Amino acid sequence: MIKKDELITLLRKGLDMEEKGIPIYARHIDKIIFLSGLSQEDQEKIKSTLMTLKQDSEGHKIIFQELINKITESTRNVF
Amino acid sequence: MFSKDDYKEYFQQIAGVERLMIYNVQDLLILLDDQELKYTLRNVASDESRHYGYIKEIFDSILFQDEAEKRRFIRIHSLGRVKIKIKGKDGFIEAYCVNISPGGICIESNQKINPQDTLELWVDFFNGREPGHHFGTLLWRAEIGADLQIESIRYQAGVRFNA
Repeated sequence: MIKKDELITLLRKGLDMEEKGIPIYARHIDKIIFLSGLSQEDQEKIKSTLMTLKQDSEGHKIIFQELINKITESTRNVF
Repeated sequence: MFSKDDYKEYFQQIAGVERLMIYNVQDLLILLDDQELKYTLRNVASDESRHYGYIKEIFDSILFQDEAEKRRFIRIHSLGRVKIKIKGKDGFIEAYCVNISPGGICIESNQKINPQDTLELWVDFFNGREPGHHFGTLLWRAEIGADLQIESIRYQAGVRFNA
């Protein structure tokens, strides 16, 4: 069981991590020079991984924000 | 041109971010009773674990493929929660397992443990792997994560298990 305030704090921490992760994943996705030292196959693998991480983090950011909104509006004090 | 060390540093940073995300969601899951919230966050936890697997795959197949494991023991990259008792001190320290082998464990924590401290550790893995109970000595400690500006984890440390 977790109190509302503590839950919101942890969800905000999750949101903050996702927000900070997105620019790190995106930093090199479209930089040809970043991947140029690798084989075509490895380039594709890295690019596809970074893209997945970025897209999923964007989705998680929305999930965390919606949960924060929902819990903030809730009349419950424990979850 | 980026060197292999540049790639390694960048992907180590990403792995660190993913681990923080996993720790945070797992901390939420253990505290929550609400089943609907748990369902949503279990899906997020599953995504984060999958992401960490992708990064480990890049390490193994691209970045470290020509550096065969030279260690005496192969490390298992199973993340989990670690409760630590320092010999001669009261209370417990909360940490996370980064990897483990028959010879030792790498942990991350926001609490400082000093090299040469003698430790008793209880390890509970997120993936359901059988929990462990070990005794060991802290060999090294490094400050991490300052570049991420995420405050929750400050130290990474290596513990050698007592024979």
